[in-house]
Amino acid sequence: MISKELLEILACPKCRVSVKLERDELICPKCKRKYPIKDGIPVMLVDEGEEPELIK
Amino acid sequence: MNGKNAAPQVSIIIPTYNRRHLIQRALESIFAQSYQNFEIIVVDDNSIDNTRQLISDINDLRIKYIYLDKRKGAAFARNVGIKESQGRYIGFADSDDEWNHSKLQKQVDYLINSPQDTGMVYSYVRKVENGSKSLLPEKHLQSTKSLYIHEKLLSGNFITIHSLVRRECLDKIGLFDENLPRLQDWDLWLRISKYYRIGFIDETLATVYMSSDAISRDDDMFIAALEIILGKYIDDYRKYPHILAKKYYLLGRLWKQQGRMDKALFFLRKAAHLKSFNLKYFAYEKFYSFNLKIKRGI
Repeated sequence: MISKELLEILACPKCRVSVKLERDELICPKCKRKYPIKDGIPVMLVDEGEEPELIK
Repeated sequence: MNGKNAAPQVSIIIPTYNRRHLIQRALESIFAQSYQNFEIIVVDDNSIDNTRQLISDINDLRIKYIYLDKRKGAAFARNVGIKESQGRYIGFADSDDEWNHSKLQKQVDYLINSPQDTGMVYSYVRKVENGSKSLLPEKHLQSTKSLYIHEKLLSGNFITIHSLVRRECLDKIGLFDENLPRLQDWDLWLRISKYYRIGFIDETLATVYMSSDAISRDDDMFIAALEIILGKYIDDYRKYPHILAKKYYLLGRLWKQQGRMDKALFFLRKAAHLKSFNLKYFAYEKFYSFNLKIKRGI
């Protein structure tokens, strides 16, 4: 899990807007890219961010 | 912490802001270390230069990347990295650094072989600025063999960020002070040195390339930070009036450069008062006092 404190200061590195927590992933409200959380730390590298469906 | 992989021994924290063109060299020098049991946490302080793409291209699971929603400064970014790190030892790097092959090995070995009350270890760093090279700390400042360096640190910072710190040491004395506009590293070393011994390895273990756009010694910020530090450690400074007098004198000179004669005089008087037999402080105080009277038409 990710701390509330950290969640509040994170942004999508692609769109630079604040990310939201959805279930156990971070999601960018703009590009819909999802960032998984591994070992309590978000994986925000773009390649690891799950592409939204319309890009697939 | 609940992952399958064992926690790394060392966490290396790198704050970065628009240094895509430099950070690769820093990262390569870390991945090339003789000591490999580490994680790297890059805290991107809201860069707009696509640093993320460069980090994404590095195929190594030991690198972690956090992107901040606003630019908050290196001290804040380092604190985020520390809080998310897992290592027993915390190392710091900047994006314009290059570590020597054995930097981490030597600093880890030093702390492993030292008693628990050695909170951190530092080494010489080569500074390259506009093609000229120098050593940090300057050799003459590195004369002491003592590991109790709090008094010496009160005179000024001579330890670069390229140190290795025990996590439990940070647990006890806290993280970087985010309220300071500058000098956050000095402040951290001051706190550590108050409670812990600080080790030194007599070797040059890293190079720092000062780029022209690196955060300059912006005078306003520097003065503000210095005043805060004097306030934070005033009880310690009072034990060494000659050091405190030097700091007041420095503040006086800096304020004078800013054209603030009132503030300049305030601190020069404090310096002269603490060490009235020092002719330099006394003379400056009298000189500025006289100038101020002329300005005010007294």
